[in-house]
Amino acid sequence: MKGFVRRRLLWVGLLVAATISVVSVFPVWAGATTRTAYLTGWLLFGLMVLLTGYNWFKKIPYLPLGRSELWLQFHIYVGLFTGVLFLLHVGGRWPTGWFELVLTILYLIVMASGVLGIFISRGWPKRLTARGGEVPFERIPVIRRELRERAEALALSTVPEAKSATVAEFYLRRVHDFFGGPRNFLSHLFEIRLPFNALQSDFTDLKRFLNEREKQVADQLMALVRQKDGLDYQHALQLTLRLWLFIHIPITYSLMLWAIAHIVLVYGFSAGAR
Amino acid sequence: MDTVHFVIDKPQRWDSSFDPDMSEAAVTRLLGIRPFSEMDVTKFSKRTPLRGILKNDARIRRFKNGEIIVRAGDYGSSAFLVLSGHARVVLNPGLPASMLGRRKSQRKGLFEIVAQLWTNPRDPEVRTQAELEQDTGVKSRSGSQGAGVFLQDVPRILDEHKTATMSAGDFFGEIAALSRTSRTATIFAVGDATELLEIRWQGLRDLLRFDDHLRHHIDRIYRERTLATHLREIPIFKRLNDEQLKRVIAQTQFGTYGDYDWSGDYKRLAREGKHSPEKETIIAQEGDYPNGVVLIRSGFARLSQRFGHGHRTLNYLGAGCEFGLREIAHNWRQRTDAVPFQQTLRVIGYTHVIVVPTPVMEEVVLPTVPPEDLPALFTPGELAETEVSETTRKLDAGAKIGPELMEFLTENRYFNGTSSMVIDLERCTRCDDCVRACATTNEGNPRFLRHGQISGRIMVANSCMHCADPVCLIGCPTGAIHRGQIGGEVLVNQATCIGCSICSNNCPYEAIRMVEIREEDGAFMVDKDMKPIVKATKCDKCSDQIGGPACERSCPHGALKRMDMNNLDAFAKWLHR
Amino acid sequence: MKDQLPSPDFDRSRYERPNQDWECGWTCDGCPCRIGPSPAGKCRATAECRPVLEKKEGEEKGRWRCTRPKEHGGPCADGPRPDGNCACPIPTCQPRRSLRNQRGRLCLAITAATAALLLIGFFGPWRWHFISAGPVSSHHHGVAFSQLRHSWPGEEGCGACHSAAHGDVREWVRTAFGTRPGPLQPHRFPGGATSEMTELDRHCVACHPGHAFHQPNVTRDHSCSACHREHQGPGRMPAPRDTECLSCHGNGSVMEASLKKGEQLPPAAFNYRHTSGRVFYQVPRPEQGYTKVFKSFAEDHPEFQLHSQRLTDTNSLRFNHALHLSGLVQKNGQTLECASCHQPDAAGAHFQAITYAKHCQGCHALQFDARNPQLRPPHGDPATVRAFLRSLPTQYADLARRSGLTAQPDTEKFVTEQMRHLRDRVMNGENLEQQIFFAADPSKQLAAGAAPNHTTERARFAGCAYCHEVGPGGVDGLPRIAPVFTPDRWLIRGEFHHAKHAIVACKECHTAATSRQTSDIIIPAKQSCTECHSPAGGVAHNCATCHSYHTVHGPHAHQHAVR
Repeated sequence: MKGFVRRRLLWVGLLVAATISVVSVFPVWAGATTRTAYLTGWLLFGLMVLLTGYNWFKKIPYLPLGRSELWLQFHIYVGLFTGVLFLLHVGGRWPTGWFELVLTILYLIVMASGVLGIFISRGWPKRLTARGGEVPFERIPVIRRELRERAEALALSTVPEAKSATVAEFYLRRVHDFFGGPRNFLSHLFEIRLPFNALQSDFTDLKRFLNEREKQVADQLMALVRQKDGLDYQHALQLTLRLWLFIHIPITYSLMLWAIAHIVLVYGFSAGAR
Repeated sequence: MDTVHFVIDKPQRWDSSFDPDMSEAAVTRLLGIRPFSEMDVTKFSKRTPLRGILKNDARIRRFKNGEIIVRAGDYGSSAFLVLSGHARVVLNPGLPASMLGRRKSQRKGLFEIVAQLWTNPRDPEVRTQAELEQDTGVKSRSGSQGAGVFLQDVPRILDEHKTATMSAGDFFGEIAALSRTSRTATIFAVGDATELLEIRWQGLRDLLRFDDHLRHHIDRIYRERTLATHLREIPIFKRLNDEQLKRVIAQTQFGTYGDYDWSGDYKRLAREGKHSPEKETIIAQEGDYPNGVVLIRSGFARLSQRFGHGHRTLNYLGAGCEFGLREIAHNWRQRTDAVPFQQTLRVIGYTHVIVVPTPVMEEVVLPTVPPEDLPALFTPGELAETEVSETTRKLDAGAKIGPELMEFLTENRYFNGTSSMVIDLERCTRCDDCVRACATTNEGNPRFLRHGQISGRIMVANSCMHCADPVCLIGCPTGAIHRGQIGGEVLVNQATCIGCSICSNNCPYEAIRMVEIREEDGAFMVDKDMKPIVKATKCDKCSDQIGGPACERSCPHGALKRMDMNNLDAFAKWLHR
Repeated sequence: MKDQLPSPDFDRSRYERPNQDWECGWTCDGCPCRIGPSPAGKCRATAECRPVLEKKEGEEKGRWRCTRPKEHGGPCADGPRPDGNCACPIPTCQPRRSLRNQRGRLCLAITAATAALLLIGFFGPWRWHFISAGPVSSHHHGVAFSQLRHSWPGEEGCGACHSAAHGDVREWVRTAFGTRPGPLQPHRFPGGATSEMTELDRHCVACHPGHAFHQPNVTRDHSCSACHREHQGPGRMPAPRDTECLSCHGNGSVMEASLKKGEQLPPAAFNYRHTSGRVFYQVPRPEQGYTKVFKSFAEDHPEFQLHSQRLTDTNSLRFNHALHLSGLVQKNGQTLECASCHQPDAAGAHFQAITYAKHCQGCHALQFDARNPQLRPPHGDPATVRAFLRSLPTQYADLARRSGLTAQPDTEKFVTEQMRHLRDRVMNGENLEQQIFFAADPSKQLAAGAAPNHTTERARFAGCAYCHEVGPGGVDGLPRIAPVFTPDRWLIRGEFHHAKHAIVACKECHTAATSRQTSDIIIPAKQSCTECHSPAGGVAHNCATCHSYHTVHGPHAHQHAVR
C-alpha cells in the first residue's frame, strides 16, 4: 500500500499546510481589516458549494469530469478544512442567537455525519469481506425468502420421519421468527455475536433430545441459521452504509439554505459595515 | 457372421453430434465426393473412422440465393466445403458493417451525451423504434438452419463489390477454424441450389491428422497466407530478407493443442474440482532440450515452474508471446554451457502455436539479430536458482499477485479478459455508484451485475471482459454480436439481435444477459405469439461515450478497475497500490 | 480468507437495478414480479400470460393458448379461461420507493421544512428574537430604548441601529444588496479595508454625538461598531480590543500622517481637556505628538512623560514628604501616614484635593501669639492678613468676649495687656507684619517667650514664608505670595483607579518616604505598572484598561464611563 499511503500523506500535508497558513495569516488580517469574519465566511461558503457539487457530479457520470475517487478525496480534505475555517469564522465562541445557533448545529451535524461516514466507509468493507456471504443488497430479500422456505421445509420434514414434533416445535418457537426478516441489526453493527451464540447453544441443548435423523436435520437447520446470520450481517452493514447519507445529504441542503439566509441577514444588518 | 462393430471408446463429443439428423445415406454420398473419395480410410484410427467423423462432426447445409454463410469479423469454428452450387467471397473492401448485422460504432456527440439527463427512459429496457430499425440491406428469413440472413439486393452487391467465386470442391474457412482468428471475408451463397458441408474444427483436426493430402493442402495455404504476415510482425524475424523468411516458413511447424470448446468443459471441470495444472496438456516441458521457439498465435498457455513438489504458475502467455527464445539464444552463444527449458508451457483451454525449430533459429534467424537485441544470457546464479534475473522477475507475475489469486484467475479463465471488472472488496462500500453510473450511461439500464467469483478480497464481477478470445462471438446467426472498431470491445447490435441466447449461453462469465424489452410506455414488446421479445445485453465499455467506462470513473473509493488481464503487471501494481 | 462464508447462490441472470425509483412491493417478501411498477409508482401486475386465440382450419371458436414464456415456467397446466383471460393473475402490490428515491424525497422534504421554518421565523411575531445575533447590552435594551427611534411596530429596538429593521424581509434583502460592499462584491474584501464609518455607525452617532474626537491630528476615522461590539451578551458591552487601537497606533504610515497633520495644527488645538474642577499637571505635548508606533503595553508602550522627560513639580508650596512620614504624631495621638492627608474621593478612584483647612491646619495653625493660640490670622491673601493685623485690638477684644470676659472694663484690660506683650516682643505692627509674612525659620517661633514646656499647641509656623514663596512687589507694599498650584491629576491621558489597587500599599508605587523636595514627582514609572499589567504579570493589560479613545472634545462633554 505504499503508493496509497504516499498519496494520502500528500493530501494530509496539503490540509495541514492550508490550516497553518490560514491560521497564521489570520491575525495579520485581523490587524488590517477588522471584519475577517467576512473573508472566512465567504471562503467557507464557497468551499461548501464546491463540496455540494460532489452530489451533482455523481448524477452525470457520462461526462468526463474527473474520477470520483479524486472528487471524494477533495471532498474529505476540503471538508475537514472547512472545520478550521468554521472555527476561525465563529471566533471560537458558541453562538448566542437562535439563528446562528441553528446554523452552527446544522453545520456540526453535517460535519459529524461526514466524519462518521469516512470511518465506516474505510472500516466496514473489510468487515464485510472478512465475514463473507457477499450478496447484492437488493437481492437479500429473495435469498432470505429462500432460506426461510428451506428451513420451514426442513423443520416439517422431521415430523413424518421421526414421528415427533420436537424439531418442528423448536423451529416454531425459536427459529421461525429469526427467518422472518432482518434480525439483530445493532448486534451486527457492533460485531456482537451474543444473539447468534444464544441460538446456537439452544440448538446444542435441543440435540440432546433428538434421534440420529433429527440430529442431521438440526445440523442442516443450523447451517441455514448460519447462512441467515451471514445474510443479516450483510444487510445490517450495507444498509447502514447507505443510511448515513440520509443524514449527511438532506441536512446539507438545509445548511446551504440557512447559510444563504445568514448571508442576507449579515449584509442587511451590518449595513455596509466592513 | 454378423460384423460386430466394437465401437472402441468413441470421442465423447460424438455424444452430441454436430448434426443429429445426419443420415447414413448422406455420409455415403459424401464419401463418394472429393476429397473424401480420395482419402485412405485405413489410415484413420479405429476410434475416429472417417465415416464417424463425417457423421458426427459434419453437417450439410443448403443455402438460398443471397444467404450469408460467414461474415468478415465473425469468430467461427467450422470449415466449409462447397458440395454444389456457388458461393461468393467479397474481397476487400468488404461489405458495409450494417449489412453484416453490425452497427457502425461511433461516439455520441457532446450534446447527445448531456441530453441523456432528460432523455433516458424511466422504464427498464426500453427500445425505441430508431434503435430497433436499421437499414441493413439484409433481411431475416427462415433459411437453412432456422433463421438466416439474406442479402437484399444481390445483383447490386455483385456490381459494387469485387467478389471471387467458390465452386464445388473448394474449401474455405479452415484457417479461421484452426487458429481461432476471425473470418477475413464475407461469403454468401449464389443461386438457390448451393450446398455446403460444414465441418466443425474437431472433425477438421482429425481429418488433417489422418489424411496427408488434406494436411498438405491446408499446410500450404496456411504457410502461404498467414504465416508470412504473422512472422513479419514478430521483432526477432524483422531483419530477415525474403529468402531467409522462406526458409523459416518452410521449416516452421504449427499446431493446436487443447479444446476449442473449453468454455463448456472447463465450467464443468471446475465445478467438479477436477482441475489442476498437472492435468493440462504440456506443450514444452521444463528440463527438456529446447527444440524450438514456441510462438503463441491464439489462445492461452500457462507458464509454470517446479516449486517444491508442485508447480508454481509464473504467468500465462497469450497471443504474441514467445517461449524458449532466451534458452535457444543462450545455447547458440554458449555452446558448451547449454541450458534446457527453464519453465513448462501448458495449454489452458486451447492454444494455437507456431514452433520455429532450433536449427532454423541458429542458422538463419539469430545471426541477423544484433547482439544487444538478444535476450540476456543465463547466469550461473540463475541456473542454480539462487538469484532471479530482471527478465524473470518481470515475467514472474505469480510472485507479485500471489499463488492463490493466480490459480483463481487461471481456473476461472479470467486471463482472457482485456477489460475484466475487478473489485477490491476491502475498499468497496457496496454503494452501487458504479451500477448507477452504468445505468445512467446506458439509458437507465445497468449492463453488469456487481457480483461474481471472489478470491480473498478480489471479486471479478459479471461484466463483459471483452475477451481476447471471445467465445460469445461463435455462432451468432445474424452477426449482431461483433467486435467494434473503436477499441476492440465486443458489442451487441440491438437492431439485429434476435434473442437466440447462443452468445449468452456461450459466455463462461455470465456477462451477457437476456432481457425482455419494452415499448416506450413500459409494456413488454411481444411478437405475434405473445412471446416477449428478448435481446442480448452486455457491457460495451461505454464505447459510444466520451471518457471511457463510466463504472471505473464513478467508484468513489477506487475499488473498481477495468483490468487488462493479459498484462498481469498492471494488475499486480493495482493490487499493491 | 478460508473462513469466509460462501456467497449464497442466486439467480444471476437478472440485473439489479438500484437506479430505478420504484420497486415491486413484493420485494421485501422475496418474490418481486417481473413486470415492475410504472415510473409513477403504480403496480402494473396483470396476469402471467396474454392468451392467444388459435383458430385451426375449419374451427369456429378456436382455443385460447397460454403464452407464458419458457423462462417463467412455460405454458401453465390448466390453460387460459374460456373467456380469454389468463387463469394465473399476478397479485398486485403496493410499490415501494427505492432507497435512493426515498433519500431524494427526504432531501426535498427537509429543504421544504427548512424553507418553511425560515419563512415562519422571518415573518412570524418573534422574528427579531429569531434573527438576533445575541442578547444586546443592557443600555440598548428595553422599552425606553426602543422608543427612542421610530421603528417597525412591535420590534425590540433593532431599528435604532439597523436601518433594515425598519421593514420586513423584503427590506432586509433590499438593504443587503444595497450595501457597499455587498454580497455580490466579495472581491472587495481582501482590499485591506480600514475601519471606516458605516451606516451602522451613523446610527450610533445619532444618540452619541461628537464622534470626531480622540486627537485633533487624527487622519483616519474609526468605525464605532469596530470597537464597540454589540450582541455580545447582556450587561455591559465588552471593552474594545487592542487590535482596534493598534490598527492606527501600530501602523507606521498612519502615525506618520498624524504627525504631519499635528505639525500644522496650532498647539492650542490640543488643549481640549475639561478639568471638571480638578487640577491637571500639564505635561507638555511632545514635539512629535503621540505618534510612536508600538505593539503592546508591556513591550514598547512609551515611558510616562513624567519620567522620560524628567519633569518636576513646579508647585511653589514647600512640602517634604519624607519628614511628614517619619513618624510624626498628630494631636489625636495617631502617627502621620499617607491616608492621614490623602483621603479618597467619593468615587474612590482618586483623592480629595489637598487644602490647608482640611489637611495642614491641624498641625500648622497660623499662631503668632503663644499666649493666645486660638487667635490666628486668616489663611488667605496678604491684604486680608494685613487687615487682621491692623485690627488686632478689635480681634483681641473679640477673643476676650468669646472667652467669657464680657464686661467692657475686663475686655479693655485684656486687650491692653495683650497689646503690651506684643509690643514687648515685636516693637511695632510693621515688624509683626514683616515677621508674619517673611519669617521662614522654624526655630524662630513667634511664640518665643513662652516657656518651652508650655502646654499650648505647638505651632509649626514661623511665617507665611515657612511654606509659601513670599516676595516683595505686591500691591500697596504688600508681599507677593506665589500662587500655589497643587496638581491632583498627574497622568491625565490615562485613567487610574486607586480603589482597585487597594491591595497594593501606597509606598510600593509612590516613593514618598524618600521625597524631600516639592519638585519631586513621586508618580510611579511604567515599570511599576507592568509588573502586574502584562502577560507575565497576569493582570489586564489591554489599551482600554487605562485609556479611552473618546477624549473630551467639542461642544458635548463625554462622561468617562465609570468602570
